Amino acid sequence: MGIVATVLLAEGLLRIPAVAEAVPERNPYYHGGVQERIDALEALQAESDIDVLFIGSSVVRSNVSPHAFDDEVSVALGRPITSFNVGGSGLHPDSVRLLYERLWSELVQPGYVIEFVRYAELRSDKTAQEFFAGSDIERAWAEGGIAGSTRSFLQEHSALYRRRGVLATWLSHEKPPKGYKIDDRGHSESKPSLSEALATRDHSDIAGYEAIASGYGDPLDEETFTTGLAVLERTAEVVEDSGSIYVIANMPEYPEKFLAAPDGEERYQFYLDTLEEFARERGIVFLDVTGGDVNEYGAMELYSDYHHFTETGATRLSKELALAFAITFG
Amino acid sequence: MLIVYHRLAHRWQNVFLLIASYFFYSAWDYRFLSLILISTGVDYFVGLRVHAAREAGRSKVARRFLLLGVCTNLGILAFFKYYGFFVDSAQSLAEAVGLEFVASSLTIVLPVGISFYTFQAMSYAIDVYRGKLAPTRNLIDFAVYVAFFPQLVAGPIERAAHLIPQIQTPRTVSIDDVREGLLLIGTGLIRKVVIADVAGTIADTYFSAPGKASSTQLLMAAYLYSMQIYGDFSGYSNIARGAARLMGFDLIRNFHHPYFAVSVADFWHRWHISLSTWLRDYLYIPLGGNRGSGRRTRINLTLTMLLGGLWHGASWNFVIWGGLHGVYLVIHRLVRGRRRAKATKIGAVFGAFVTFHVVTLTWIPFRLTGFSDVAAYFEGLARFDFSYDPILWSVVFFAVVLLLIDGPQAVTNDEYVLARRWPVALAPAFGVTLIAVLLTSGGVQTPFIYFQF
Repeated sequence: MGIVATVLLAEGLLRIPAVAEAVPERNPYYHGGVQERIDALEALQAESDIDVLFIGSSVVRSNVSPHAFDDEVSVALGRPITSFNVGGSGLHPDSVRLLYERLWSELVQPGYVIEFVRYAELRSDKTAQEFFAGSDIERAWAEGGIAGSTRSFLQEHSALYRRRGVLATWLSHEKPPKGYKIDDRGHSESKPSLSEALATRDHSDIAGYEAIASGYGDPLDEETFTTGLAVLERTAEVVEDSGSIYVIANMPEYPEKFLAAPDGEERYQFYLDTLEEFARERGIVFLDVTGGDVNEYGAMELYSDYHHFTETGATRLSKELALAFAITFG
Repeated sequence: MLIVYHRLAHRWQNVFLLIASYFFYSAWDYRFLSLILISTGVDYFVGLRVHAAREAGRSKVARRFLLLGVCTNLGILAFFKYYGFFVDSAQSLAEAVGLEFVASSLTIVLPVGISFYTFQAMSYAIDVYRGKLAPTRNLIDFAVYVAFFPQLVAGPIERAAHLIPQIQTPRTVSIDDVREGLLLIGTGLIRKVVIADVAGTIADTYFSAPGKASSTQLLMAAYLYSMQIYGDFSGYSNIARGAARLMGFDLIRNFHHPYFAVSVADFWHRWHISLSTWLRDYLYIPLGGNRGSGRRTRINLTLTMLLGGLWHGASWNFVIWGGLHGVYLVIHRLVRGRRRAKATKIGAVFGAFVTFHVVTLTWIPFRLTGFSDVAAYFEGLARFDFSYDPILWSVVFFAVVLLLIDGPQAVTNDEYVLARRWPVALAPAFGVTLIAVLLTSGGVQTPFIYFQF
């Protein structure tokens, strides 16, 4: 009884506004950017319906500008449209699927959901379960079952549980992770920082190149994308069940990542062919702004690193995607 | 598990414990269960043969069987823990003197807890040989002794004379056992989750780049690591003892407020007691202990501590750590031999202060495995650029929590002071423990440091 009374006392104390303010809850999502997107999305929905939602990893967050996309599509179609970007840092396709299924689809019912993928993400076998192991909300969703339900329940109802780890954070004097500044449509601008390094085209001079490029030279076979495609299949089902049209788009990357390997061009083509075939068999629209050419997005000024764009790159991609979108769905 | 255990008759409890212990160990890597089985089988057989030979007055035969047991355990340990270390060291030595030496390279995974259970099994055979213990004829009882899961992977290293009788006789669990067992588990959790894990995470940020940290941060990192390793290891020992207590077992106490020690010799009477007494009884005393000349005693001390360091890991930094403690013990003997001053309170406080700092700074080569990092650490400390850093408050927090746990126990000389003197406060204390664990655990698991040894 004494144990329960002590825990209930702490729970009660944390419900007093002054105490709650003094001991803030920890960010329950895997990244602070999720809550920022929720707030921005709700603010936007107060003014307009959402026609297009962009989902995917950080490359979507930085490379897709909804404003540029909307402007172009509105001109092409002759009517205004509104899109929003919920691309999130470090997400693998299975994590993208889970966040859409459990969060975004509950908040918004867009006409179209466009998921961008890139080669490295499609060949990944990471699951949402392992990716969200350290978070509260996403971990509960990923686990499911009794454990997941218990976490969800505690997260919703216990002020004490929502403060898990806050003492450790305070003792560590950890500063909150630097977030990215998003605009009112969820897009974040990346800083142009690697242009000089990229200009050398000397991979040995570029810090971390080997690690970043890993996987772009590995043996390739029909099994390479099996897990990634299975995840896209599940995402497609979820999106369609929520009443939206699911679209897959290829995200261009700095060509040297492919071309550093002798079979780079063939590898890129194989990846695109696989995606295209999957989309065709599944009846999904597949959009590729590179036209199958690995060098199409080869200009250095487009990139802030090997796959995140500068604003110039983001504007170009968004406009070209808008045209492809307008032609397909106009 | 406890419910099932307490519903079983004594003999079946032992079978249940054995299955649970093997299952527990297999959870890491089932293949290494074979090592425990070999160690168990050989030492069981050796115990019986040694005893039979002793009874028949055939001491040479007894010695041969003992040698078989010791060599088997040390062989397993040497191969799985030290093969790479010996090969690499031999290769470096050969290169240094200009010889060509090509050794076969093997990637050997270190079985968890191997240093603990091989030492435990070995002590049984030696005690039977010394006539201190009659061998057990029940293989299951002996197998439980070697593999008893609460202390299998990180101690305390139990002695057969202490644990086997508890396995052989029916066990009862009183309400005091439950209270004290839960108290041990509770304080163990605070030591591990609230102190060790958080202090370790903070210390890691400075140890990862000692050249970039200020003198203040480096000193604080040393304090934090000191509290981390104590919290981690004593936390595990407490949880192991508490879990055993709930099943009616009394495991030996492994820590006795080591940071209150007034000298390094005193520290070794309080730190990892089951290992230090093992080394004393099975290494230091057989080497001659302090029975020979002063010089011989000093050699024995240094050798024991060097091997004690090596026990922790197959790396020169552990040897250096052990060697440094050996030197401190030698100095302590020399100083004590000349001057036996009366103990005063101020002297004790001063001794504790100096000992804590000596021990804490000696943890540096234990924590930082690269010699260049150790050098960078002490260079940074010697810069003496001390200034206020908010990390100081974290150090104060952990120190206060440790003092709140250890202080009353040390003052009353009663490990269970809370349960015995203020039983009413026990339940709220468990509640506070739960809250503290929740507020410091971020969902990422940190393994116990001593699992690697």
